Amino acid sequence: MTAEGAHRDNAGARLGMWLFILTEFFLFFGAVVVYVFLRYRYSGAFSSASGALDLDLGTLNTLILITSSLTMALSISYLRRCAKKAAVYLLVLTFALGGAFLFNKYFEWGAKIAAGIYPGSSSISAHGVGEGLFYGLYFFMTGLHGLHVVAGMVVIGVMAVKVARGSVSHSAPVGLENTGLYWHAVDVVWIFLFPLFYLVG
Amino acid sequence: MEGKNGPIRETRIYVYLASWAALVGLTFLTVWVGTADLGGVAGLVPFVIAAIKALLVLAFFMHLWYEGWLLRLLPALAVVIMAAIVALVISDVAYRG
Repeated sequence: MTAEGAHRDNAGARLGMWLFILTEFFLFFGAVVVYVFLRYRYSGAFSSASGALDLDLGTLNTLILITSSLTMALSISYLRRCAKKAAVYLLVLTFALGGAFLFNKYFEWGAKIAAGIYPGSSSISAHGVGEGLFYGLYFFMTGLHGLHVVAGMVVIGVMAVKVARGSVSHSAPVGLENTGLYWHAVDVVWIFLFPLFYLVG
Repeated sequence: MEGKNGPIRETRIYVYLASWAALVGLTFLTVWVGTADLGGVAGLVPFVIAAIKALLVLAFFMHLWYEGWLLRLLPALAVVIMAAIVALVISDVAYRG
């Protein structure tokens, strides 16, 4: 494949990752536009449905992702300082925090589904169009975000192995840096999703 | 090694820790404002705070504070495009009543 010293375009790789991240922001933005429009059409229903979400879990998840961004950034810092073990531990910690986020999501969704609140349920349609639209958006957007978290965790896992093996190192850190960019982008999306769904009331 | 083809310029660790602390504080502020019954335009405050949090992540965790003009221009351009889309949607909906 690429031999040591062969053409490397770190600036290009970083630019490419940023362009990809911007497409991801636009993806979520599309759903946000739909949300904003429906929110003002069905403000009462959105308000009451939002109040039924678990704010404590949502806040905890926000703090979890923010902290995982910190551990991600720190792992890159330590890799740059040639502290390979610390970098790997921090990546494992980032992975674990991502897992904790998904674990909380599983509980949240589970509670909603057990209460008969899931896309297409009769319980939702009994409460009216507005609430149905809120929950439809909730499941779609947090679900899409959750998929992005899973993808990020897979990449972080792969990177942890690569760092441990030395193929990503202090002299060739761009792969890990771009992984960090992606993970922070996932955090940014959640930073907006949190008030959108949990603080509408 | 540094420069355009080098790795991202090193950020001091205290910058990351300070950013994290600010983000945690702003999260609690968001919840406090969002659950207080302020009403009206005040309902937008959590989103203003969210934008500030996002800027912190973009600037320090994602290094835009230290990057050149191109990597700063692109997200700014994305925000301008998003604002234009929202403005067009709102004007369309307002026209239809």
